[in-house]
Amino acid sequence: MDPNERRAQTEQNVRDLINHREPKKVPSSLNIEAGWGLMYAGVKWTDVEDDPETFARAYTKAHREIPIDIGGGPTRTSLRPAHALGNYMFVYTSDGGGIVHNQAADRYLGPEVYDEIITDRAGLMDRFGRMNNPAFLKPRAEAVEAVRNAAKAQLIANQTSALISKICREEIGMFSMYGFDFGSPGFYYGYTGEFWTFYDRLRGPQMALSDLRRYPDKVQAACDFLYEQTKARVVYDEESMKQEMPFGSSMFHPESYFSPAQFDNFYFKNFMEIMLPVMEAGKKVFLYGEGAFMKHIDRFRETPKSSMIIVLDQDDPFEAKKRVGDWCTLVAGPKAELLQLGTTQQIKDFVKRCFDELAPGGGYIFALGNGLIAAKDAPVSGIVTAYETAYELSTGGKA
Amino acid sequence: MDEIQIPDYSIMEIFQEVIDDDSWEPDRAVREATINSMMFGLYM
Repeated sequence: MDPNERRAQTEQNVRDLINHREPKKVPSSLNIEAGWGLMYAGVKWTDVEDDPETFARAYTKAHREIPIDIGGGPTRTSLRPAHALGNYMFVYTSDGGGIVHNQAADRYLGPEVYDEIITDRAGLMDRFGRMNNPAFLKPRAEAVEAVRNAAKAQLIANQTSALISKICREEIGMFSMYGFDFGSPGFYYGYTGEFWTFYDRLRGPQMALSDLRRYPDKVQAACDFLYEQTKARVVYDEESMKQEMPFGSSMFHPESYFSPAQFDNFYFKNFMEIMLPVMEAGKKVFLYGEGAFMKHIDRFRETPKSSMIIVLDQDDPFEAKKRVGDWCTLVAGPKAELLQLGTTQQIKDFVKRCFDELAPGGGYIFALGNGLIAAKDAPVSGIVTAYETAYELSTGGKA
Repeated sequence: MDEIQIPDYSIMEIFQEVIDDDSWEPDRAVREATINSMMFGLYM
């Protein structure tokens, strides 16, 4: 099929299903990806990362051969920029096929951050930046040289990402709806809870969650301060708000661990204050995250009907369908465990159940239940079986 | 153990110096966008 025609058909299918109309074809999506495309092609990351053309051609072999309609391109195409600054939070896997988060290298700060972010945010972020990027502990001339080298590597990485997006869009006919790639226009609406800054950055997950009990007033004051700054930056543009796509976005991660009261206090009331006007104007909002979210999912019935697209991670998609499937679009499918441990028939059976139970009435996009970040997150054979089965079920034909 | 000496420049000053330096990429807008995208990847 002509790439432009294929992309247009997918766009129409997405517009139908997010408004809870059954599409002609349930599209398949790949949500987060980093290294697996190279693994599929049998190419080592470190052998190609300095050559955008070679990297992009190898990486998109999978996208040409596996029937995937929607994608956003890889989140990273090089670790050289970070490594040039002495930052090894992400490293290459031992087989050279992908990258992995090296959590042992993460460095966090103490509980003083809650006061300091209010009194000296710039100084705090500078201190945190030096701790994780040791090049900034060196004399000025050496730091400048390290940043220049990192920037040169980043330039190549950005060229690679742009080329992958171009190939996916123009040669393969894939569609991107998420707004962060594939050359989407610039007006962008998003909200991420303030607690993320402490959970994912300054304090780390374990200490940040403990701080909710140990220093509740300080955490509250710091989050309130950050929210006021976020609110002050929001600009509402009437024309762009009316456009369903590219989607606005929100993320969940620490929210998975919140009590209902914490969920409301640290996330949902702020989310609604910032994003409700956008959804009421017509914009759709994409919610992506990590963890189990079912205990909070009913809250999204407070958003306008057919406004949210929710990517499930650890939760049971069939339970989510019962709770909010008539109200929100769900992006879900087999998890990595099934692709790793299940038989081909078990994978096919699960994909069929997804189509039987999640697709009727619209509001469903097929995707793997986890992002593919490290090369060994799921075997290629399982990924191919899942997408080919989805293609057969959505078209009535062989992939 | 020797105490770590924090240099007297700020990280943002260094980024700005590299943005202002046209020896590695002629287009200033590209230099700025490159540094901004790099900061995202550094968890800053």
